[in-house]
Amino acid sequence: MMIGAILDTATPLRKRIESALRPNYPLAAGKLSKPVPARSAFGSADHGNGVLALSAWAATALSSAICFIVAIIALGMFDPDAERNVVQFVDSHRLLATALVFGPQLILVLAILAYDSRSRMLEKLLSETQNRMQTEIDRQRQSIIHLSRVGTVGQLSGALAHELSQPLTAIMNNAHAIDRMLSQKPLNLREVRGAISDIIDDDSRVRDVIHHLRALLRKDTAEFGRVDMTLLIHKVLGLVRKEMALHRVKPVVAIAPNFPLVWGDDVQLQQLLLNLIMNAIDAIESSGKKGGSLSITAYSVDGPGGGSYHLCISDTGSGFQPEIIEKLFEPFFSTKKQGLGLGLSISEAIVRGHNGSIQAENNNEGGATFHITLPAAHEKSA
Amino acid sequence: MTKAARVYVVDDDLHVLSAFRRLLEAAGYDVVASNSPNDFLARHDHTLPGCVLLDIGMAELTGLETQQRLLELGVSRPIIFVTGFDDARTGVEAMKSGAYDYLIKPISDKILLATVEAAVLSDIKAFHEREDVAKLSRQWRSLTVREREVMLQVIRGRLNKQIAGDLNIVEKTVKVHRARVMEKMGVRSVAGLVHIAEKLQRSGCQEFLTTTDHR
Repeated sequence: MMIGAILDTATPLRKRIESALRPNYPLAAGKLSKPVPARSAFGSADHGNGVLALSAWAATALSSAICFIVAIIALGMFDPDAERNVVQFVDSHRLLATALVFGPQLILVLAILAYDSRSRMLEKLLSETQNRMQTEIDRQRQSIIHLSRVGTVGQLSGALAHELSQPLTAIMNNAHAIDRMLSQKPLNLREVRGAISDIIDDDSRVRDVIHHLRALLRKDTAEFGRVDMTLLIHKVLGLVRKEMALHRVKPVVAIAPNFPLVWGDDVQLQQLLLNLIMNAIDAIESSGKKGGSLSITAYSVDGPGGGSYHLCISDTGSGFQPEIIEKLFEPFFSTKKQGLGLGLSISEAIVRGHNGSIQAENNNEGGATFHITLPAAHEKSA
Repeated sequence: MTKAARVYVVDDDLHVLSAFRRLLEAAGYDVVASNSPNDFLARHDHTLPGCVLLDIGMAELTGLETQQRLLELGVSRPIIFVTGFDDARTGVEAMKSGAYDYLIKPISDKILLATVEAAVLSDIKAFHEREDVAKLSRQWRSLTVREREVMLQVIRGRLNKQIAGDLNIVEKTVKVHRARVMEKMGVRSVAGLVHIAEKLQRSGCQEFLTTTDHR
């Protein structure tokens, strides 16, 4: 790509840069200005914009000098610290930089390095650049996944309010019942005890829901560990129990005993299950059938490196049109009136982040099935 | 009076179910608690007055369907729907289909007890009316064909002589029929007889309506 194309050039640098950039950045309209010291080049850039990362390439235009181009793509939402880091880097290596402003939000900074020992510097810069970009991409992906999870929980707000109001109703009525029972003769001690123990149970029910919600809403960075999928499936089903009941969707769960633990982020895996379950409920609802069933099947397959974990989520809706099955996981692809089209693409991103795979297919007997494969957690340390 | 009434509580959440049961029992009601609509329908006793506290969102049968089943069984029982979802559409549907009230959880004991009491009172009233009508239609059925004919003429204000002419019998026989009608229907005046006829008509008593239709 861009870097390779420029590296082996012998033609004047500016021309190369301009022609390489145009097709990639249609907004590019500026011309390269004369090289100036890095600080002033950055000073002329719009400070409202942050810096994404460095994208560098070098050209052996003059003598042994290496030319770097530092492309900084800023859309206002990226790490503002990065800009300072770029300035520091350019300054500390006695670089000259020139800034190009391509439209209001796209800034390109060119730094020309007059430095001799080329390859080591170049490698270092390239690898630093790539690391930064990767970190940034990961961070962005995590926060998109997190935001979408917040949205899913929002969709469930009715069902969740129900999960909270049930125990609260029970607590309140038990308390008032105790109040009345205490003034009655003979005192029915057994009933009073029963009510008190129910209150204690319901209090922990409320607490569990709140903890669960907090975990789902709060965490925006993935923390990998060993995850017990059986527990997770039941936890998620607990959350959507009422939602399913209201749509007449019956859960059918079959989990093979002794399946391995999965190596993953428990919150993201819950999100994956939530997405697919909500999707299945929608599919059944929109098929016009009066209810249906949702089956979750889990089994493991032995193999080298600890085997893998398979998860199938099937619904009894009307399945997918064959021509759209390929597009299901594309972002912003949706067949729903109110869908954003992010649910499945985020599910796919989660599975990919777990080194797994996800596929959709129509069932012979109607409805659709999502097949997910996840690597099992064996003696993994990181 | 209301304390002897029976309150059916139907909720698939066992904790909510027993909390409602305890509170209503402590308030003096005879409570039948079911964790499924089918269990409730099986245990429902239409011969006793009372009301139903019915969770609207259950998997087996929704609250509205349960209400429909009761209606199909010919039972008009005040139903207080209870829901954990504040969903206006379901609320409107429930009220339209004749719910007594619609309560959203969490429900305070005061509102619950006040609503149950009002529902039970209205059912007791309806119950007495139903019993009354049942008694009257039994009495009506006990009349012979000729006695029914005489009664319908009497309540229209016709004189014995006119009735005798219409039915082609002697006036003395009309008098005998008339006395038997009064006795069987348990009234002493024509006004009382008219009152009964009105009640039977208003309640939609089938036997009574089919007889009068032919006139």
